[in-house]
Amino acid sequence: MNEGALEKIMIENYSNVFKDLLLSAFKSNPKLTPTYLSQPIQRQRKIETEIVKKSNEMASFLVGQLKIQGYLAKEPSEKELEALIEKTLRKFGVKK
Amino acid sequence: MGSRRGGDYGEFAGSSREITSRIDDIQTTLEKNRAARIVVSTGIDLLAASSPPIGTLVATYRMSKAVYNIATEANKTYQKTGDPNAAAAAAAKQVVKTAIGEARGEVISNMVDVGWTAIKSSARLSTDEAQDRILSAAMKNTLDEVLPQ
Repeated sequence: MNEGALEKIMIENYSNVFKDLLLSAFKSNPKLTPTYLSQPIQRQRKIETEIVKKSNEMASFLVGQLKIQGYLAKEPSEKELEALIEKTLRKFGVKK
Repeated sequence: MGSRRGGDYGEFAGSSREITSRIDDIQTTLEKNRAARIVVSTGIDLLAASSPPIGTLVATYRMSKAVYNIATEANKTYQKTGDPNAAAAAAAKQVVKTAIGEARGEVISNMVDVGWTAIKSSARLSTDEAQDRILSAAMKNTLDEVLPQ
């Protein structure tokens, strides 16, 4: 297995999934979507640009963590993977 | 992987207090015209509080390895032929055991649509329809990015 190629694919793939999940949260959530769509188009575009940027950053961070733990070569347990995903979301969410 | 946290995205908001609170936070950031980075960070908090998105992110790990296998097959053919269409066709053949179309973009899209069940099975994914939609769309975009052009 070429770890560099897998890392690149994993970043790309995670970035696409993060982006889709976040866009769904704003655009396909019955409670949230009406408010989102009532925003000026320019503001919606700004938010979507930010979603793309954050998705790339989260994907790079998460895959970096997977790499550090040796999880590109060895598959983590579901619990270990969930823990890293939650760590990533906490890092990029609102600091409280 | 991914099954335990499967769920209907129509119920993304769920009924738990935490999820409702996160949605209220996002509404507030939108109504108060807060900076886009704050709005999106609040959206990330919603993902962290919701089970189906985390299940999808767990499944993405194995799906990425399936993409890697497909891309490796494509690259082998590309090194031999120098033809991106032939490379995509070889990748599709590996997935669905038959050639699908000829043009690279069409092959990628069809390979994922037709071969999704096989891909899920090889990646040992147990996902629901809503998760499949997100994962297969991501897979098409990723393959489009990483297969020879």
